[in-house]
Amino acid sequence: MVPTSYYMVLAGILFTIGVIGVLVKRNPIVIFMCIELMLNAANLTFVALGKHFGQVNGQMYVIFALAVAAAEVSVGLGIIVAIFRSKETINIDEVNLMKF
Amino acid sequence: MPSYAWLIVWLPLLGFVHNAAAGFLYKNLATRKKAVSYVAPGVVLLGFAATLFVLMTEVLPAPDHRAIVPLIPGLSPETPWLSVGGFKANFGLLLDPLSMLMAMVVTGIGGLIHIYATGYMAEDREQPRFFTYFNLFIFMMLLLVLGSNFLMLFVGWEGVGTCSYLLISFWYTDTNNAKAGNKAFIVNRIGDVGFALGMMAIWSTFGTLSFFADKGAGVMQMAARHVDVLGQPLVPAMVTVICVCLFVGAMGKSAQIPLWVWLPDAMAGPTPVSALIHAATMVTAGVVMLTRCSWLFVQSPHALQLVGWVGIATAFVGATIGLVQNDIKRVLAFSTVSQLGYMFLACGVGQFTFGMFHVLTHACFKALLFLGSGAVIHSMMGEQDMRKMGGLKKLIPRTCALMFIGTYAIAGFPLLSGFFSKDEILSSASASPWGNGVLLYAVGLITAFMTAFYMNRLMHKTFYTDARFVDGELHAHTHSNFTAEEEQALDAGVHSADHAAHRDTDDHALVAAHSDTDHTNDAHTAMDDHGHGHSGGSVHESPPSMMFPLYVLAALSVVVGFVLGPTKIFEKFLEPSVANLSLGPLAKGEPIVTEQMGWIISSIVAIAGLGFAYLVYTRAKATGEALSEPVKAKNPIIRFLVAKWGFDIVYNYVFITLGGKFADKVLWKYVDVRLIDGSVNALAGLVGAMSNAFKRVQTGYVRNYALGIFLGVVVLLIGLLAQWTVLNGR
Amino acid sequence: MPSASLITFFILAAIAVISALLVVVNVNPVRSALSLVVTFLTVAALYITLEAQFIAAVQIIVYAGAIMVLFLFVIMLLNLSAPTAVRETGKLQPRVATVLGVVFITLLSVSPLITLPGTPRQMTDIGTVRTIGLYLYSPQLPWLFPFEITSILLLVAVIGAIVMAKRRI
Repeated sequence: MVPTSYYMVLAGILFTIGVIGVLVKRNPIVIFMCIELMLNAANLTFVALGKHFGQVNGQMYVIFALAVAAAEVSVGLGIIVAIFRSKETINIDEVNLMKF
Repeated sequence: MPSYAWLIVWLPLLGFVHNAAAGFLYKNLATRKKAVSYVAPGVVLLGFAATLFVLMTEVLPAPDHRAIVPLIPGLSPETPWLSVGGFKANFGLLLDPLSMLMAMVVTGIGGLIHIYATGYMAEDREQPRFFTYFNLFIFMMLLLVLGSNFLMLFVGWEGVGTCSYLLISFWYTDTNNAKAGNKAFIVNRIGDVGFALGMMAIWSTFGTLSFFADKGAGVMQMAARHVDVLGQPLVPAMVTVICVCLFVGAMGKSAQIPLWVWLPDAMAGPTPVSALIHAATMVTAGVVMLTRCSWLFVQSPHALQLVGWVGIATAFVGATIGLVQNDIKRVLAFSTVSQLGYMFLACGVGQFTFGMFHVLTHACFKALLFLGSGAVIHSMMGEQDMRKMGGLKKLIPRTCALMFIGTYAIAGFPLLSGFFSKDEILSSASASPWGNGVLLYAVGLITAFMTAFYMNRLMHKTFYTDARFVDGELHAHTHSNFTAEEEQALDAGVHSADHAAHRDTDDHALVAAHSDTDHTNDAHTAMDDHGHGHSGGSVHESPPSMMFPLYVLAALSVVVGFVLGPTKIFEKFLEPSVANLSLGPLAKGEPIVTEQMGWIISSIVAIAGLGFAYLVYTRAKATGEALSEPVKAKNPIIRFLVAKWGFDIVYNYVFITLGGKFADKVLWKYVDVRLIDGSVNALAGLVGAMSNAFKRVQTGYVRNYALGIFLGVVVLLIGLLAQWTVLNGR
Repeated sequence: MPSASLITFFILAAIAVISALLVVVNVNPVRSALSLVVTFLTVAALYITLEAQFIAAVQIIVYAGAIMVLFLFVIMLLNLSAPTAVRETGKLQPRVATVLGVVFITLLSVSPLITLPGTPRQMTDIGTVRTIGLYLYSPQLPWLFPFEITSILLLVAVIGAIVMAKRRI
């Protein structure tokens, strides 16, 4: 029997890797992929805890999170395409008009 | 029966309103002046009649001869004027012998001076404005003497100060007059700070500002029982503080050392102003206030000593300076300072009644002297310098006779009124309850000698010596705010603007030669003639409107003394309003000489002073100068006296020069610019600097912002863990 | 000897973590995307060990099958095969990020929130399609309404994506 805490630590590690990816990478699409990684880690937590308490609700949350993630990816990628279509580079640090 | 005391106060106010609105009511200038000249003295004399009526019907029949009545008929005298927190002040009038006495002096002698002023100011274009201020002054002075609490007294106190300023600088186009008005008001205000502090101290001790109230709840009643508002015994130090603060106010108003410097300069105003305000009424307000507070003063030996010493010092200094003055009004001004010193001396030795007696007699003969000198000036077509007078006995004999009576009265010639009042003061000074009686008596006698001397000197220089001018070729020095051309233009109905500015530049060339410490001639520049074409004029007696009050005042100067003095009528009359010295820790001492000896000594001193002046100036009949010019210029004593003991020099240096430098370099450049502006600017600068530092967070990079979010999450996590550890004691 | 499920778990966990690291470490975005696919597949396997069979299937279909395909389309669209031009914006950011990440996971691991009381329950049909369907479509349970609303959400997403990406509206 795998203790639920193992799953949660795993999810935590995946989440952290995702966070570090978001903060370190400069390619916006890769940043987006790391966000998806974070979402997955959260889903994993949901499912693990749902199993731990014997409830189906955990999986229900995951279904909807999945749907929302899909929608979000489509819109987000649309935005990235719109922003970077006119630029030469795809360095997210180029978008810095809000600099003081 | 309802009280009619409010009439006394409201009639002059009515006169003020009428005179102020005279410009609207009467379009023709001549009609306007005539109407004002009837209304202004009329309301004051009606006030006098009302005072007598109230005295007979309300004061004398009342228990303790005291009644508190409303200022506004119909309201109760307890109707509050101010009611803030625990502080209450109401609108009442206090009718008692002291206030009635002063009301009679103010309205009676004031009324006479009003009549005089109708003649004196007849040719002045701005006569309605003059009487507006004059009536306002009477109103304020009556508020001062009739007020039932300190606050109303203070309203009147400030009001008379304001009117004094307005009237001194009546001919405002001459800057010196304006400066004199400023000086009077500002020095007064310094005293008023002390007065206000005294009032605050009184309120904190007694919880009320009313002099007398029901069930013994008034300040004076509590002081008589030696208790404060909580029923605790009075702290002597507190009483001394109160008295000293009040006396500071009196010092300013009544021209005692060190706040006396404004009174000689105040002679820049028209002569009726000098007579009414600076001789008879306003300057005696300090004495009146002290007498009103006598229940407090007799309990504080230190305050009494202070009053006494300041009084005798002022008397002496004033007399010495009066010896060397050349302007006829200045002599009288310093004489007033000196006589006021006598009044305070009387208060200082605990004999407030005699101080008030001297107020009464002084009002009569000083008003007579001032009005008489005004008549002389009027006859001399505006000349005030005695060195250019002389030989007027033959030309204006009646004025001379009246001035003679006034001079002998003030000198203390036996049986005239000044003799009785001054003698009482001197003998009580010798019986001073706090010692030094001999010194006080001696200095008082020396001052009396000097008084007699310089007054007779005035008489000789003006009347008896040979004429130092040519009658028939008098050059007119008239005062007016308008030049001759402007007068003609105004008469023709054309309004000329900027007359004041034009005026100023003209006169400044002449005025610039005079400094503030002027000792040769007061602010009296040669002005243009007005439309009467008086150059080449001759001396003539003054009109009846001016002479009539002089006769009345002369009669009063003669009889008031022996009618009210030796018969003790005055003492008995004023008794309910004055506290007895026995209320306090001091006791009256033994006079040095018996009463009869005192009379003889005073008479000798007076006659000696008069006689000495007679001898000196009869010898110098031709020139009218006792000492030659080079002697006067070199003699250090005379120069010291002419410089008014250096008061003006010191004050000008300390307050104006040094004070100005302090204000400029320290208060402005350092405190205001560097401290206050600097701190405000520094605050703004700090905000700017902080913003400059914090703006670096806005790098514009999304990743940095994301890092910030993550940082916040980590901090939250740490916080949560810490909280849980603490809660669960892990 | 640890149980078989434990060994399975560790192997799957190792694969997931390594592929996640590869996502972050790779310079080439296409390789990052492919690593992410591997991660998703591993996570789906983990779902199966947690008896969430339906979710596992949906994960593969939606995430690996649809979302990652979309990612690859966009990568190709923007022609990002080659590594992007390197513009250094300071070394501070990566270092701080790494440190914070390590701190975060350490705290999370040692926090008492991780250890939960009780043991996981054994419910054999907790994740079957039948159970999920019953939950989703029962009017008594609250899941019907969000399920229907999700369709509108997807509609909005579609419209939004089109509006965003069009050259001219």
